[in-house]
Amino acid sequence: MTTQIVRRALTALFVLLLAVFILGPLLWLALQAFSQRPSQFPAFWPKSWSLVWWHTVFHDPVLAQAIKASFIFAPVVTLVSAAICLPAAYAFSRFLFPGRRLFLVSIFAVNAFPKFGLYVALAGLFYALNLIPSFTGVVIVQLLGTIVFMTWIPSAAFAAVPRSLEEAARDAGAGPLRVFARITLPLAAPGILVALILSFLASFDEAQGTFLVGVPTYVTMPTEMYNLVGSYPPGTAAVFSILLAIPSMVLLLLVRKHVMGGYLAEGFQLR
Amino acid sequence: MRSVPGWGSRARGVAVVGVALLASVAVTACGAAKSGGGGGSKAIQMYISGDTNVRDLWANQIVPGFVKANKGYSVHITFSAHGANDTQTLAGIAVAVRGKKKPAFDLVEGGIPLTMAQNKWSLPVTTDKVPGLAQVPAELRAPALGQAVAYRGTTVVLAYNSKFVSSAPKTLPELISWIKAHPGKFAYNTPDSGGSGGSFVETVLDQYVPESVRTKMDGGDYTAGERYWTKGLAELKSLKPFMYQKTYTSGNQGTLDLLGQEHIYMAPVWVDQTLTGIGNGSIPKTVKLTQVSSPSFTGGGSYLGAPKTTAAADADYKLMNYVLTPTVQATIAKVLSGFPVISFAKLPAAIQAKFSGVANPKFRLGYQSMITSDMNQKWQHQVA
Amino acid sequence: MRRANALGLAMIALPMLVITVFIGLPIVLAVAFSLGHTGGPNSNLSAIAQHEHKSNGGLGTTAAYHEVLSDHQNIRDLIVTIVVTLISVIAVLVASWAVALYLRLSGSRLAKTFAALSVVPLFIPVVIASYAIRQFYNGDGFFRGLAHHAGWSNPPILSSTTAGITLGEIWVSIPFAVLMISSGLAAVPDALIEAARDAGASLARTVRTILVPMCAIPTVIAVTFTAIGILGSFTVPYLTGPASPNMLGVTMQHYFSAFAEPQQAEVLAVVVFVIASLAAVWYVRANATAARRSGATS
Repeated sequence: MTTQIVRRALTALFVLLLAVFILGPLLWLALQAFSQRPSQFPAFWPKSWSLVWWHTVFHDPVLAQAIKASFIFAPVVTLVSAAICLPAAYAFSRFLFPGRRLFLVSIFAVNAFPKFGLYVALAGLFYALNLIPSFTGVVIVQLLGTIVFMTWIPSAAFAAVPRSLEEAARDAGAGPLRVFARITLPLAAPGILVALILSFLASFDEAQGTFLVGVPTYVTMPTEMYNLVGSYPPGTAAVFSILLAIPSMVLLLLVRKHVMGGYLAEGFQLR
Repeated sequence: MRSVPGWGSRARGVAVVGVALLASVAVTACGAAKSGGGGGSKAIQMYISGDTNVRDLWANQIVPGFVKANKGYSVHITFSAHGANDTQTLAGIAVAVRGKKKPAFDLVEGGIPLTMAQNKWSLPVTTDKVPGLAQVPAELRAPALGQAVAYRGTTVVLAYNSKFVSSAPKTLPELISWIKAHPGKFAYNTPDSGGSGGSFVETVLDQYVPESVRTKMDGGDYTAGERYWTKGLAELKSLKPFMYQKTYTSGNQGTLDLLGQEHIYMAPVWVDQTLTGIGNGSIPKTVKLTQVSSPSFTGGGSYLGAPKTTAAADADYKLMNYVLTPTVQATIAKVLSGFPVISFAKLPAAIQAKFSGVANPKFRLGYQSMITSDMNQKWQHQVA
Repeated sequence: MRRANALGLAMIALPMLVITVFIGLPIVLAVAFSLGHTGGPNSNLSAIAQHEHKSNGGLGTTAAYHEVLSDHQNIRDLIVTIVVTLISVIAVLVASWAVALYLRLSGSRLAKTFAALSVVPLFIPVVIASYAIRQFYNGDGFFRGLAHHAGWSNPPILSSTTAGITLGEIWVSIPFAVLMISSGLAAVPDALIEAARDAGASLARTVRTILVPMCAIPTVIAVTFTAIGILGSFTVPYLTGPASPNMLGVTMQHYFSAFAEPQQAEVLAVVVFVIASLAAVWYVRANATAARRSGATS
């Protein structure tokens, strides 16, 4: 009986600690968006409340431009990534061509070489190709971070579609494209959706490469965030953070079930 | 290319390197074009870069005032926030001047007039054409090479919270003793993350660099002075235990946050950024500014320059003169917290009060970018 | 079958091309640059480089490696990088196993909400997360205030310390590990757990003898991805860490941006790559084992 209570208490403590650890910083930052100056230790509440930082952000055209740029790049990159990677994802799930595993694993190389070193070398290459600064250059840089999601996760989703269903449809006289459109795609859709959203976020979140390839012409929200942190009062960065987090949170609510449902995890187990 | 001073220019490492790269591509083989300017057009196409308050200053104050005072003239402003289009603008001017064609802009504002001047792409700016130039401090005139005019300045100064500090240090050695006597109450940001920390490092180093050597360094002989840095670097290292949290802040704003929250009592800061912070309430009013001497912290100016091949040369000169009048200079000091480039004595008392402690500065220019890179490297490896 | 092979290869051609040109080639260029080959596309970087070591032909020169690795500060940064990575990975592993176990064994509404909560960081841009963490643990942050009210008169400031970096890395890495491990645990049949309980096995014993072994592969994947992500990270240490010593991601940025020494930056990138590759090999082997077990061939 006592062990039961102790166990419950420990679980509750763990839940509470982790909740504060994860949500605390975000809520704390949100608080700063509404205070003229942050609170002073050991107080929790700021001395005076104010909307002055919202005013600053909304009246700075650079920030507005950065918001616009982010909402242009992220969808473009996501669509390009889907167009390039989804056929590959299907091929990985359905065909056992030679070197399949090697190719599947080579996608992993994106992650193993440190991003900064990669972007520096890429900058040298892009100068040679006259891609700095350019829209295409930024799209390519952001695309690199999405390939892993857009290939692995849909591939696992396609693989999970029972072949028997496809075969049954084919036996009933449906052509291969019809089978794909009516059977395979709808069943794999949740996995593809998760991949689309993670790719969108990866592009939306990318700062270093965009900075190297896009600045000074293409400045996105996360790139601008580095500036704000370095040269504006904390309230401004806090307001901008809230704006930057809104689309992410909306997407989170949209796909929470599917992400939790294991589509992401399945994708990272290469078969 | 000398790094443009000022917090608002946001000269950040990677961007600067990238721009330098692009400029080196765009600007190769710039022939010596003959001056083809001298046009009499009354319509000025103007390029402005910087924070939005710079645009507001021009769009709402300077241009309407100028047009009202000079019938028939017009100024059309193209604004590039934080200099985002500086490189393209520069490349465009290079092409126009080399091809002896009319450029897209007749007048350019910010830091790029200096680059234009170095490449001899600009109209000469002399006291016969712009009489007001005579009042501009000599140290701001020098980098313009007679081809641009400084119309506002900023510099790094010492900020102190008068609630905790009754008498501020007057010289750099006094400041260093103060730091050692008040552990944890001083901070400066890493030199690569913002110009105010960079200026502190540079100023401590410069104590031991002879004047003649410093002149050589400014002239481009960048290895000349670096061996004189040893003493200064050792002095900076000895200060580390007395810094807030025994480490360094990141970014100009990182230092100001600590000052605003009263964790530290003293720090090197940009004048314009700090006065703006006091204005919007993020820094308490008890924070005062002062300049130290022997040596002083570094600073510089924002310039106006005109491409050689402009068709509106006379109008350009007229506008340059207008900007140097006391009325406009007072507006600049009020709106931007930027230093006027004419004597404070000619300005209203309220402006003199705002800049109390740091008025009439002698601008001491910072190192060139190659030397700054080396300084950052030595600081990171021997001090941080 | 041969037609299917050709079709498959054609379908993967585009992403493979992108990876070859924009990742493979730059990696080769980076390695070449670090060895003193400053020609080709590297000449654009070389144009702005100070204190460069040029190769005199042959395979190249290791002079840049000598310079970078004989600097004790870089070695300190390397050690910080490895230690932060190890501590963060262990903490992430413990926390995510705890969350996943709670979810698997309790299955209550609270447990589900809690698991969803732990995935939130996946959706927050890293730059915001890092900034939020810096503000949370700084001199006036919530953490210090809370500790003070709990009776700790002068709690430490964790922002701008290596502890701050570690907290940031853990925060950012938890969701992926939770997803991997909870998915692994979800695949363990209820019957197996119930059978163990019916046989009188304690909770700890059930976890040790049934759940941990069955969840080994997802755990390895979580560990390797977390480790590789942290080794090469920049934003978290840049915003939450001290001026020095910091992690190599920040050191690289210093070399490139602040010192105008791109060659030395690439040397550090190659060093981190070598370390990350060790973790990558483990990942690939774990996957290969899993694939063999599940019967897939190729």
